[in-house]
Amino acid sequence: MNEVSPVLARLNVDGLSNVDVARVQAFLPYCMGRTRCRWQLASAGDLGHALFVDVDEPATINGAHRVPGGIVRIQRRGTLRVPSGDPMVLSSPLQLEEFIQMLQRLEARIARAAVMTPAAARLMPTAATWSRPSGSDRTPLPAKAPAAAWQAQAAQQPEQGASLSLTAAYRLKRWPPAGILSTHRYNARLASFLSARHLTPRQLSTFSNVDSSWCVEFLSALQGVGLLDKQEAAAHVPRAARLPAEHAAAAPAHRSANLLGRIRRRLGIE
Amino acid sequence: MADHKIVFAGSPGAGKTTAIGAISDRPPIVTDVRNSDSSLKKDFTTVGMDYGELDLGDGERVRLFGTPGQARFDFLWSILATNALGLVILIDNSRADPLQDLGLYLDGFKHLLPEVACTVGIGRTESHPSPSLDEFGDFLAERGLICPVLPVDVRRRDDVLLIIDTVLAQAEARID
Repeated sequence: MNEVSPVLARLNVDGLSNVDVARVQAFLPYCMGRTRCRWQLASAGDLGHALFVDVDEPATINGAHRVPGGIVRIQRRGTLRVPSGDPMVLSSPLQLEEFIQMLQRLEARIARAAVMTPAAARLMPTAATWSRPSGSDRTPLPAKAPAAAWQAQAAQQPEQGASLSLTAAYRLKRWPPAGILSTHRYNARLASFLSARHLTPRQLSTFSNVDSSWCVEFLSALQGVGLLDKQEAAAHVPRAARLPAEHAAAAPAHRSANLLGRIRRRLGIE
Repeated sequence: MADHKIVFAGSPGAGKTTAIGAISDRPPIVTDVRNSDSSLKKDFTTVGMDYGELDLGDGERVRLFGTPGQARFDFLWSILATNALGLVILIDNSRADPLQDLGLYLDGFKHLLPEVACTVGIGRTESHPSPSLDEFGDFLAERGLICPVLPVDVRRRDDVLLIIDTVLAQAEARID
């Protein structure tokens, strides 16, 4: 397969302190290979593909609606100006791993924006492939197709968030190629849940204790390359939605879940 | 006392004893003898089983069993893995045919795999990158199996914990 040059993406850090700007500059070279795009700082007057601002910046920024990745707010570590679970918040001083994960999240947002708006598609040169409607002309790969074929498909046609249903349940057709799993430290855990049964995005987030926005992005990536089997909502009954008569039978399940939770805590697995 | 178990299987030298030692509350009990199999590049090999345990408190514990790796002891594998919470198959990628090794253990546990959470850990991938993780994934897919396949250095506790994490995730998803 031919090597594809990474797409350039620009990051606006005008709203950050000098310390954080210096950290971003130091981090960017280490992002190569971990992110799909090659990120660089936006020049003066350019909003870029994503904005990093201090949490105290005014909520309204001129032209921010045109930024496909959105606005990332930076708050001092240890303070809780905004909820800690907010996926668009980073703590200062910035840390490399969190920064890379944020860039990966921004790339998924940009990809989704490209699917929905021609303006965003123009911002991302590869958006022409991302804006292809689901069920396009590609032939679905069989589950037994080699990982290289899935990897190639992922490279040609990255995730299509628009095609993911939040009410449907998904299960892996096969274990994903290593290249798809390596983009985030929680992907192996998420894929493990999806290898065993059909789960909705919400169930996946609840069981795995991984932020729901990342679960949706991971599912979108898998769905985009056809690695997921989809089951409509009526075909599965969430554990929490059982009929009263089933509650007695659910007690052993609760005990089992409790046991697994205790093993995790005992081993220090978050 | 309620007992649960996680079983570590896999090729000789893959690091089952070390993996158990990485998470066991106490040094694992081993049944190693001086190796008489010239195909194995080590002085000692496990002939019975390795044993460690994880105390959960309140009278509950998880027993950690390591099966002997050599195929002549395959009768022990499924005895140990029956009713296990999870199964970890460790493969040494520096051996002559790691995919064939994996096939051997998948066959040995064939009747248990539909019910037991299983993760495959591939060791020595840095010095022996072939077969790749994806080739192992392909091998499993050809058999209709969807098991996590992860690189592992059993000397690193975090690697072993990630393997256990994926086993527990499958086990939890199977609870209905």
